Amino acid sequence: MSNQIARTGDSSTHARRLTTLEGLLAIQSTEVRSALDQATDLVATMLGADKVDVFLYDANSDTLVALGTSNTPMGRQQQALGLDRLPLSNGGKTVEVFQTGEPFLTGHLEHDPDELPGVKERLGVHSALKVPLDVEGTRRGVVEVDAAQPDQFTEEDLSFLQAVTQWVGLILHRGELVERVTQDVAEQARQRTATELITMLAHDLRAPLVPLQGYLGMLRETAEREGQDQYLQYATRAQRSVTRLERMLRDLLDTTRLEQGIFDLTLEPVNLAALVRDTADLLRSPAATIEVRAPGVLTAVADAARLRQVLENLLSNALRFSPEGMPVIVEVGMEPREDATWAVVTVQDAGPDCPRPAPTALHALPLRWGQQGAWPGAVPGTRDRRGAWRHAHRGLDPRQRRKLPPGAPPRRAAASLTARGLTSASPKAQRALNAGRVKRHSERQVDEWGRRRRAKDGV
Amino acid sequence: MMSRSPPTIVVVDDDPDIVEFLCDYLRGMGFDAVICRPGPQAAACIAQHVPSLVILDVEMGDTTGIDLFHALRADSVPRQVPVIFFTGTPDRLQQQLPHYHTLGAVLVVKPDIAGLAARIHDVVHQ
Repeated sequence: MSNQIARTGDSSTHARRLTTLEGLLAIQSTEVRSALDQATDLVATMLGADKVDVFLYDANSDTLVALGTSNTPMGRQQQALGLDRLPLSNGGKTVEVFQTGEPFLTGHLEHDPDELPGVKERLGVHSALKVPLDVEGTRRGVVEVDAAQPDQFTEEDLSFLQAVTQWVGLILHRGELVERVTQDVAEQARQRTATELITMLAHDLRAPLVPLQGYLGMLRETAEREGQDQYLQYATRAQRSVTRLERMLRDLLDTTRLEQGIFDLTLEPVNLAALVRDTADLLRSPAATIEVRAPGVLTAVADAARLRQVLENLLSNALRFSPEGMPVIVEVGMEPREDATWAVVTVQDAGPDCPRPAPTALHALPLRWGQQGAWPGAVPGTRDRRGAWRHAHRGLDPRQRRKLPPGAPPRRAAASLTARGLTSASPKAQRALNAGRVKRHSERQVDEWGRRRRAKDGV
Repeated sequence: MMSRSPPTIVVVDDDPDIVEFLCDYLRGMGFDAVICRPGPQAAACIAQHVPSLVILDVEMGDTTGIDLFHALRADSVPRQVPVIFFTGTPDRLQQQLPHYHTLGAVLVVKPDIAGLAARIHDVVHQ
């Protein structure tokens, strides 16, 4: 008889466990918290527990946080007491299980000196099961079952909870994957929207500049042809303002792209020395002397248009604050560093000292970093399939201008461009040449590099 | 003695101010400037005038410059008319038609008038 009762009792327990497992399998929710809440409710019912928790470790606060708690009176009381957050530094049995990975079973938690007083006395927990929760081989937290009744749980219950905890781990992993994918999709959609917006902004803002710049140019030509100096002067000054407006618009669009995280660089072989000379030629005038100290050819991988943009800004600033008669000096050279050999462009002016501000959003361009290696023909000692360059810009805010002591030596503007890395994108280089971004006299060098690279790659 | 008629350049852009300026500018350079409105009839309009060059915007509402470019290239005209994409959205062109430069087209970004003039000179005098 007693055996029959025992077997019936066992059968009933097995049936309940099976039902619980079926319930866990049926959890559809891909939102982590909701899934864990459902799981803890099922387990609480199955084990006759007063509270079931899934504590997850939060590295930011070094705390175990109850992400899923059964909807029971003790569960709600735990939250009210603040015992749903267990800092590791405070210790306790739950923290111990998390740190050691050893499951725990007791029917008399009140006698355990290592448990937190709040759990024993204020929550009134006497029976406890605690099992470490691992996800994909990483310790993520603890699943805990508590009851006010002493001796509520058995070794079989502990084994069952261990099996359930593995399933909880799967639910957690699935939920986190779904959340990540959802976030990625949302981020891609946001970027697409931002790109679309900026594209339309660029289109709409640039359009009026076409007739403005165009007609001013025609007026200038007419005035020049007809010897109307006054009108020529007016048209030239107006054109200069429109050019400034164009530059501001371009910077505004670039800054917006940077802020939206959709700023791209087109990396290709560039004769850095030629680019610097070209830029200096554009800005040089009888009143504004720029001295370039550079080798004939120094090829590096960079975004030529962006590089020119940054150089124009640097040189314009340097010229603005350089005393009359003092040249702005631009040096182009190479610098061996720990990671690779870098090409370095340095702009020096003799202007007043300025504090080092934070780089502007446009000029601080942390770029993609590629793999290290050897790359012949360009910047020695580098082989980056993606390429990288960085720029530190010393802003020249006139409000911070200070007088330079008489006789002081020229100060070095803390502005340097470094470029390294490479791509084997010869078609890109060709497009750059077609677009006139790289001067003709560098074509031979770029083509030679491309031929050597293709030979090496077996293309 | 018969004088040689100036080369014809077709302008396709949905911005009336830009179209007006380009026509004035091109005529000032000695070309015969013709306007073709963007839309389904643009390709036929271009073919009708047999231009030496087409200056094409990209963002033109329902029919983009890229669509029109494909239509031009699909025509069974023996000669591929050179095209200058004159656009404020170069990114769009580079994304959707990255190999435009191999298809007889070049890109000038608005409002680079000097660049446009240089390209027109290159194309018409080559």
